[in-house]
Amino acid sequence: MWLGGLYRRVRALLRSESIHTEIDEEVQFHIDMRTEENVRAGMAPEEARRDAERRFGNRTRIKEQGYEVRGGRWIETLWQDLRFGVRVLLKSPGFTFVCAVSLAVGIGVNTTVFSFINTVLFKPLPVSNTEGLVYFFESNQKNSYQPSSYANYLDYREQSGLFSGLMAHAPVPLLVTWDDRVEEINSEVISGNYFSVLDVKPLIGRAIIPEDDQPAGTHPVAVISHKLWERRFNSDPSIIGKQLTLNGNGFTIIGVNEPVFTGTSNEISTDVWVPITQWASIVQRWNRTVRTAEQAKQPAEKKGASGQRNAQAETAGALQQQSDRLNRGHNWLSIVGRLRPGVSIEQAQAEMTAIAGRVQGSYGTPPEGLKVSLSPVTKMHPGAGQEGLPAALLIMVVTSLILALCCVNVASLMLARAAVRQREFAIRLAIGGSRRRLIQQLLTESVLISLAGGVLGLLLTFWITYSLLAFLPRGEASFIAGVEIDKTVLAFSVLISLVAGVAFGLVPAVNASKPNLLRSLRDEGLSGGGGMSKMSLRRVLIAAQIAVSLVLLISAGLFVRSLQNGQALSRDFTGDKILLLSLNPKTYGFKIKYGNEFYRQVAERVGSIPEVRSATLSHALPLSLDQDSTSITLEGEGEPRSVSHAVVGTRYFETLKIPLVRGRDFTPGDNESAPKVAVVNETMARTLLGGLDPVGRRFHFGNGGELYEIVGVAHDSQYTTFGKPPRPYFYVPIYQRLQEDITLIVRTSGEPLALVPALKREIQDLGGDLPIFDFKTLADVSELQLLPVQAAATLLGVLGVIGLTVAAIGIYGVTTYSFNQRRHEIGIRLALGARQGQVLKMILKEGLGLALAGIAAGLLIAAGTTHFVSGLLYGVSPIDPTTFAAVSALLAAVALAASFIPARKAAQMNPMDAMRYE
Amino acid sequence: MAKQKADLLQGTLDMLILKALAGGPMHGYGVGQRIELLAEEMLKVEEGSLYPALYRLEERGWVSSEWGKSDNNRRARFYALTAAGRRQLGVEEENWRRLVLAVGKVMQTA
Repeated sequence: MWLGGLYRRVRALLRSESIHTEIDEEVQFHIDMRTEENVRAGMAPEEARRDAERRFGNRTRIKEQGYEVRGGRWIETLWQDLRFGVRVLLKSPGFTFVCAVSLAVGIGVNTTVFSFINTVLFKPLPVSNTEGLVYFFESNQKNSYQPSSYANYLDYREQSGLFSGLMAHAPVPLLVTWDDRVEEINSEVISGNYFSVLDVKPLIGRAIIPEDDQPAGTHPVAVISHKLWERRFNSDPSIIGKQLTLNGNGFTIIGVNEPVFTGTSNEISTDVWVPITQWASIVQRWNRTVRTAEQAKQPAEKKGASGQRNAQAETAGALQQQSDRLNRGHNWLSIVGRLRPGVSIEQAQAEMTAIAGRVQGSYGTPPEGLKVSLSPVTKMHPGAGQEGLPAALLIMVVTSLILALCCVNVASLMLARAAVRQREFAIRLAIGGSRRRLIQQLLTESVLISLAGGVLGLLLTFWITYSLLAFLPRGEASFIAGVEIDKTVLAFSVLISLVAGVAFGLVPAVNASKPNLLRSLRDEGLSGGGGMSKMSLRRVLIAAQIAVSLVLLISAGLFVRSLQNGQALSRDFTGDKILLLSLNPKTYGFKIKYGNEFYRQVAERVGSIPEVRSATLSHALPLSLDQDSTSITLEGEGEPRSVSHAVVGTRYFETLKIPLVRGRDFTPGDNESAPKVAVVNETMARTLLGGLDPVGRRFHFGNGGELYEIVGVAHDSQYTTFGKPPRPYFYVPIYQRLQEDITLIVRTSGEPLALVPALKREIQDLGGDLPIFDFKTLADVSELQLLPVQAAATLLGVLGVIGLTVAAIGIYGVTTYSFNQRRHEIGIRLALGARQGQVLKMILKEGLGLALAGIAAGLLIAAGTTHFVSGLLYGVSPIDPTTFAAVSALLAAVALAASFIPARKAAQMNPMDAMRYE
Repeated sequence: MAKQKADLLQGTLDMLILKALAGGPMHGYGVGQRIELLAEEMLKVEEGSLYPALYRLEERGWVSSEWGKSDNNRRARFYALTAAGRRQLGVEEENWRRLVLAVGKVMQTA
């Protein structure tokens, strides 16, 4: 019955217009029936109608009653409440604004986090027909949801009969060569039936079809995204048939996708689709180009015949390796299938399990372990869920705590205000308003506030999202496809706004609806026992708030100090102009031929550019979080130790201004034919080598690997993040241990980025069609690294200031309230000769006591929790005394100021007025 | 008014409506007609009371309503007894029997 009633009301809410017309129609029907009957009884038609109308009586009254019953009253009440609520809120704009902003922070943070999680975890594939569409996974003991090999995929596809289609795809970064530059874009290599299985049709042109699965190089076709079409081709309608150069390889554009279709990944928006079968060609072609270019450009290089042979052997090996991509050992493809109508997941799973067993049996792979599983695409991707869900939940818990805190803030503000509005409530109740009605009214107000907060919060979400996205690397390559505020996110923020509104509104509303009528009407009454429980609830809330704002402000303070330290360190480290240019040939398939000779010449040529102070090479970027850890064994010791290291070119220490404290720097003579040498840092010398002059000692690189002799000791530097205690670290010369992915580090006299064209010229002149597009300054890198600290400092600071404001208002409210209650008593005290100062002190003590209790609790909490963020604190102790003391003092001062206003009012009161106040 | 009609006893209209609807769904006009018919024209049901009563019963969940076609094929709102309404009718009939009995006994004395 209750549900029925609710249903009726909701229905009524949706169509309040039609309630009136329906009742009209019913009344009209009645009158018509009566008229007909009258006519049958022999009346003239005119008279019959008049009689019917007369008998019906007051139509309006009946209509109103019907309207009420059918749910209209509810709407009208709501409307009334809304109008009244808006009026009340507009009357105290300051209060409304503080509440709304406080909530906006909570809602904004939650919505932002949710929009990211929603995008990464919950967003369905961007296809409209998901009927029967399933993810297919292989799993073994190590990995539950692993990709499959191309050969396995073909077996599954050919042997299964329960799928109308089974397709495979994998994300790969490809380099597009435009007229002006090279750009990395997100691509997917796909099986020919990808689009037909997904049931996705292109906007123009045609999709890739199974017939496009042609041997590498013979039939290169590509479909591009709507985004890329707009961005690079100005939405050219005659794009079909044009060429696109991917990894140096010409592809014919055959179609452009609809804007909604962004590929099968949630994190990445795909720009180009090419058939898997072209994979080998993409890579082979690059290798060939590079080799030819080198041969052409460096004929004078004195390369021994053996060197040439080696290169060729290497090339052959690489080709072999690349085409292995399509063989069984290489698990890299995700599989998605569409079940035939009527086929259940269980049936398909059984069939695929059988096929997997056969496939394994025939290829002699160990039969145990490999399992297959299917999961509908409409559910969360289980692989993503497995990894992402716990993290997502943790983050959501933290952010909902923030929201809860905001709600507590606002609830306590509402309580304070309810005290002020006590008289209004009492009058409403006294003249017969029901408690339910009053609570409903107050809840309407709080929901209004929270919706305003929701709107502001959503704006905040846009702002946070876009500033975050702007900071993400590879911004132009549309790194995260869809962190967008879609319907789900909107619904989420509306939902949490409503929940928040009820959450912070309910306690104050219920509380306010049961005032002591008589006392309230007599204007807040005598010093009252009745209000005590309410008062203590408020006191606890306010003390809690002070505690929380103290924790927030202390954290913010720590982050600000950490940021200052980090910036200072960063200036020391990167104050000079340093450009980092990543060449990373391996990432783009240039496995071969960028050998020592190439890099030697790059360093030499770049070093001779006039603006370049010094240039060097390294495989490990300074301040990069992924540092190689290697196990080394000191000569004469058995125990291997794990130490980080960098492979660096000559002039490395000079370029990064790392002083050498002992021994010598690397020289061009430390080449592949010279004895292996290393430079260690001070920490390594101290901790692993006993602090004795380590020059001359030797260690094995890796387990029983080659021996390296220590020739120098470098000053400790910054390796991963700022302000970390230095770790043991060593350097080896690049020509003795060439790495595939190399970054050029250049110290310049001018603007570092202005140097890029010159660098490009030099490198390309050397014969690289190596794409050169990944460049940044060291200052950018360190700024990016400081970003979390900066974000945390800002966010916590804002939250802390809001919390502090609210707490201050709370203290003001409580002291005012208690002063009002004790007016009479204070009057008597004054009349009996108490000095103003004494009264002032009395009231101040109350506010300050509350603040001190909160501060004490907050200090304990802060001391117990700040070490959780110590990883982000650069050179600041998590219980930094200065920060703790300064923030406590600030809070005490604010509390004092907040209670000073009512205290002074009390002290300056005329005793006679106060006593007559009753 | 041709015949002498008795006024409805306070509170009995709801019961009569429930009783009238016990025979099956009908529109508001029909309910009035049926009560008057069953009472052999000794009762007169005022529209001014009938519709508010119907709405009241609907709000209590004893009667439900929906649009349907009348005998002369016009759109009309039909009221029907709900399960709760049927139970309520039983309760009211029982009360009514006892009331009649008690009132009868009082009136028989002296």
